[in-house]
This record gives sequence, C-alpha cells and structure tokens, in this order.
Amino acid sequence: MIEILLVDDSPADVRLTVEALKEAKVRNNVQVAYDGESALVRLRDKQHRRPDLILLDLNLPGMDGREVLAEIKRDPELSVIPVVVLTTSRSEEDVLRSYRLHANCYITKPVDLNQFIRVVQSIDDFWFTVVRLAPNGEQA
Amino acid sequence: MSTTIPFSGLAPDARTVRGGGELSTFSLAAAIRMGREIRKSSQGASSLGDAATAVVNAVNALEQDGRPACVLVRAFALRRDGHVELLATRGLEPQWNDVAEPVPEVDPAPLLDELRSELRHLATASLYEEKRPLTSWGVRSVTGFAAHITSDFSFAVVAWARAVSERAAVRWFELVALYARLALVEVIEQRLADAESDRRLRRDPNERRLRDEALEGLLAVQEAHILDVLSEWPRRLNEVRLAAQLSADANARKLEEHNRNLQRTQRAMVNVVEDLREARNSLAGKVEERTRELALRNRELEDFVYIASHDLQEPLRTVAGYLQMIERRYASKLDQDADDFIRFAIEGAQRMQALIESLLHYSRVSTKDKHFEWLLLDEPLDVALQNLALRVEETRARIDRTPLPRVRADRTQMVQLFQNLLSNALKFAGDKPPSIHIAASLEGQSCVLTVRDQGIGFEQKFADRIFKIFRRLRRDTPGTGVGLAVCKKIAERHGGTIEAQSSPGQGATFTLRIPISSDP
Repeated sequence: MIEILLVDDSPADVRLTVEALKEAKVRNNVQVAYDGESALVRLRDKQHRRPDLILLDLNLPGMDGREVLAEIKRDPELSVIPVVVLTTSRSEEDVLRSYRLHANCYITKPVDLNQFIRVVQSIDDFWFTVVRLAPNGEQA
Repeated sequence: MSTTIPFSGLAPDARTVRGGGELSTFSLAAAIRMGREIRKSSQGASSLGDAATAVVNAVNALEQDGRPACVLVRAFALRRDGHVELLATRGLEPQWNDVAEPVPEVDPAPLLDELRSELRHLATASLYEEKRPLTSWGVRSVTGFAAHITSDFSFAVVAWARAVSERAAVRWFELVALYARLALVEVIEQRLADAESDRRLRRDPNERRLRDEALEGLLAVQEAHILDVLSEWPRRLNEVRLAAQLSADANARKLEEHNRNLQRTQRAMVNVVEDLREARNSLAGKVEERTRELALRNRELEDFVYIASHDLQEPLRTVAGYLQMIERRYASKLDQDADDFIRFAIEGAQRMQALIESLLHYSRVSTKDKHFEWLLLDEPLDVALQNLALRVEETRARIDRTPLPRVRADRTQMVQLFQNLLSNALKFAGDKPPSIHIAASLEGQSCVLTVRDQGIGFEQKFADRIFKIFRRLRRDTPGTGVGLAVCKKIAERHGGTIEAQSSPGQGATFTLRIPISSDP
C-alpha cells in the first residue's frame, strides 16, 4: 500500500486520477490537498504519515504548483519525496522549468485516459519496485 | 606784327622737364602762388615773347627754389591764319604713371560753360589767374590758368593742373587752348566794338579795312574749327556713355531677373523640400504607429489564442477522460448503440483536443521568445530526421541531401520546419516509397532551401491555401492541417518566405527563402 498525496484543485480531475490509479491496480491510499498551502501544511504535520509520492498539479489557485515544488525541494525533510508533476501544458518550457525545480517526473494530464493509466502503472513500477524507498525515507 | 614769334630757351616741342616734385605736396596754395608769380612776371610784357619768357622765368625760379611743384606751362601764340601755336612747354612733372585710377569720360558741357565764363574775364583783364578745383575731365584738385593777351592779339596762356595722368593733363591743356581761342575771339570782338570810336582807326581807314578783313577771316576759321571739334565730343561721349549705360542696364536687368528666378526657384525648392520632409515625417510616423498598433494587435491575438486554447483544453480533457472511463467500465455492458455513441463522443473530443493542441502549437511559433543563433542547417535537419526515423524506416523512404549553409536562425523552429516539410512529403508519397531531395543555395544575402518530393502533389491553384491553418486538401490523411501553416509562420519569423510548386502526380517542391542573417 503506497501513500500518495494528490495536490489538485479540480474535483473532476482528482476523481479521474483516483479512478485511473484504481484502474491501474495500484494499491494505494490517496490523500488530497486542494491547494498548495494546505499541501505544505499537511506535509509538515508530523501527525500525518509522510507520503511516498506526491502528484502535483502546476495550475493551482493562490500559491501555484511551481512554488509548492520549489518549497518541497528546499525543505531537507521533504526533498526526498518523489514529486510527479501533473499538468495540461505540453510546452517545452514548462517541462524544462519543472525539471529545473527538481521534479522527479513530469506527466501531461491525459488526453487519453488509457495512456495515463499506463503512465501511472510505470510510475508505480519505477518508484516502488525499482528505486524503493528506504524505511527512513532516504532513497536507496 | 610778326608771323613767327621768337622764343628762346625752349624748343616749341620740347618735352616737359622732369622734376622731382611730390604730387602730394603740390597744394592749392602752391598753385595760387605760382599763378601770382607768373602774372607778376608777365605784367607789362608788351609782346608774346616777353610774356612767355616771363612765365618761363617764373617757373624756373620756382624750380630753383627747390619747391616741389607740379606744373606744366605751355605758351601759345595765336597766328594770323587762325592756328594756335604751341610755343613752349615747361613743367615739373610728377610721376604721371603712378596713378591707378582711370580717366573718367564725362560730359564736357559743364566744363565748357565754366571755361567760357572764366575766359570772359579775359575780355576785361589782361591777365587772369584763378584757382579752379575742377575735378571733372580727369583734372584733379587744382587747376588754373593764366593768359596774357598782347596788344597785337597774340596771347599767352599758362595753365597748371594736378591731373590723374599725363593724358588727362594734355587733354586739359588742349581744352584750355580751345577755349582760350574762343575767349580771344570774344575779346577781339569786344575790342573791335571799342575800336569803332577809335581815333586811330578813323585816321587810318586803310588799316581799319585790313584789320576787319583779317579778323573776319580769322573768326570764320576759328569758329568753324572750334565747333567742329566741340560738336564731336558730346556726341561721342554720349554714345559711349549710352552704350555703357545700356549694356550696364541690360546686364543689370538680366542679372536682376536671373536673381529673381533663382530666388523663386530656391523658394520653390525650399517649399518642396519642406513638404517632402513633412510628408516623410508624417508618413514615417504613421507607418511606425500602424506597425506598433499591428504588432500589439497581433501580440494580443496570439496571447488570446494561446490562453483561450489552453483554457479550452481543461474542460475538454475532463470530458474525454470521463468518457474513456465510462468506456473502460461500461463498454459492452450496455447495448451496441451506447457503445457507438460513447466511441463517437470520445473521437470527437480527441479530435477537438488535437485541434486545440495544433492551435496552441501554431500560436507558440510567434509568442515564443526568439533565440537566433548561427547554425549549420544540417544540424536541425539531422534532428528532424532522427525524430522521423521510425516513419522513414516504415515507409522505406529514400532521402538525399546536399550540404546546407550556415545561417542565423532559431534552432528549434528550424527543426520544426524540416520535420513538418519532411513528414508532409512522407505522408503524401502515394503508393511508392517516398523519395525526397533536400538542397540549398545562397542567393545574395539569402539562403534558398528546397525540399522536393515525388509524391502525389496538388494543383498549383491550391499553393496558397495549403499554408493556411486548418486548411487541408485531403480528408483521408491524418493531421489537423497546421504543419505547413507553422512552416509559413517560421519562415516569416525569420524574415523570409515559403512557397510551393506542384501539379497532381508530379510531386511538390517547397522553397524556403530566408536571410542568411536576420535581425531577431
């Protein structure tokens, strides 16, 4: 069972992502934050279990996804959590900027749901089968 | 009464004696003084010879005094045949030739009047001496003359002058001589009238008759001669003056007219230049303003297209996503119609997404920042071929190319351009494997790149249409109809053009022309 934090302001997208994860047969527990600030609050709250993966939408109200990403990667406690950027933008510049901010993966929001499901499956394979997280959260 | 008058000391034609006097020191006072001396020394002279001798002596005395003088003394004798004879010339001559100013030609009439009135005094005075500041006739500053008329009607005239030149002085003396003769005639007439009651004449009628005859002859000759000479002068002078005046006037008029024309032309030119400048400024201003306006509008439009299509994507993605979710979960659980409807809905949504995607892509060609750099066009071509490697392999396409030049361009956009042109050629190859030829040449400051294929081609009348966004010539091939539109936009962004040549079944040639170095 992997713990996922999904940061997305659109309930329709949240549900679709949740459903896609289900379809991909990823054994998961998804927690949702609808904006950047509450995501960071949740991440820094010791009472909550630290997520194994963050799915981050770039287009957020208030503090936007890039700022959230930068904040996460600046924080030594949080920087080890892999962040997958979810976005509608396909522009090269956006992709590049995300990687510069140390995103671990970049996924364009699905034009094709089936394709998206395949991507989610491969993320699951990569991050939780190949890389594996050490028990203390350090990457192996 | 002798016909020849002896005069010792000087030959009649003796040239003036050159003295060392300074012209500038010959003053009016000196002239008057000299006249007085001459008068004194000639007074009481009973004959012309005595008078002349007295004059010469006086001049000699002046000379011996060492006083600088500028004087020319000429002694004349009136002969019975009416001729005036030059008896002697004596004088101190200044540097006649040192005078730069020309002799003015003037009307002799006033001078004539003047001289006549002066000479009338001769009728009442045996010796006349006067200072005359006659500035006309080339005689400058001080002139004067003295005359002595003897009882036998001979006379001596002494004239002195400070003249601008020898020529002027000589002419002056000639004039004096002429008028002296004229005056003499008047004097003679006067004396004849006086002589009517003269006892001596009454006593000797024979002598009187002889005298009358002689005088009549003399008068006739004198008058004729004088009039002859005098009448010529004003006419000639007038002619010369008139001609000079006319030519001067004509020249002046011509010059004036010329000047006026020149000024008019100049004014006109200035006006034209002003107008042009104004027009140019206003035109340049307008063009600049329009260009700015247009650029702004374009920018706004592009931003609008980008934002609009970006925002359109979101809800569309939701629609498509959930439709696909329905398909995954419920396909074949409903009836066949439901499956068809779902499939159509998904296809429509996907098609729309592709269009929006294309629109975004198209608008990004010009909204993207410009990154121009010097690059060998082979480089972006290599990248494009790599991107298309799978398709090239699948279609067993044959691609040949010549080395391409180095230009200043946006690398990414050049990749895009090659990729679009090549994928177009691959797509419209027809049944046979695609054959594509890529070549380039330099024409002046431009790079001309051609991509030629052996594909299905198109009718030339569609050559413009194919570059318009979403305008497709065929429905049976995949694509949204944005590839060539993007190519055109990239060409324009590089300050160039792109055009197509084709006919159905004959393949197509795309020609790109861009400046080797365009300003970004």
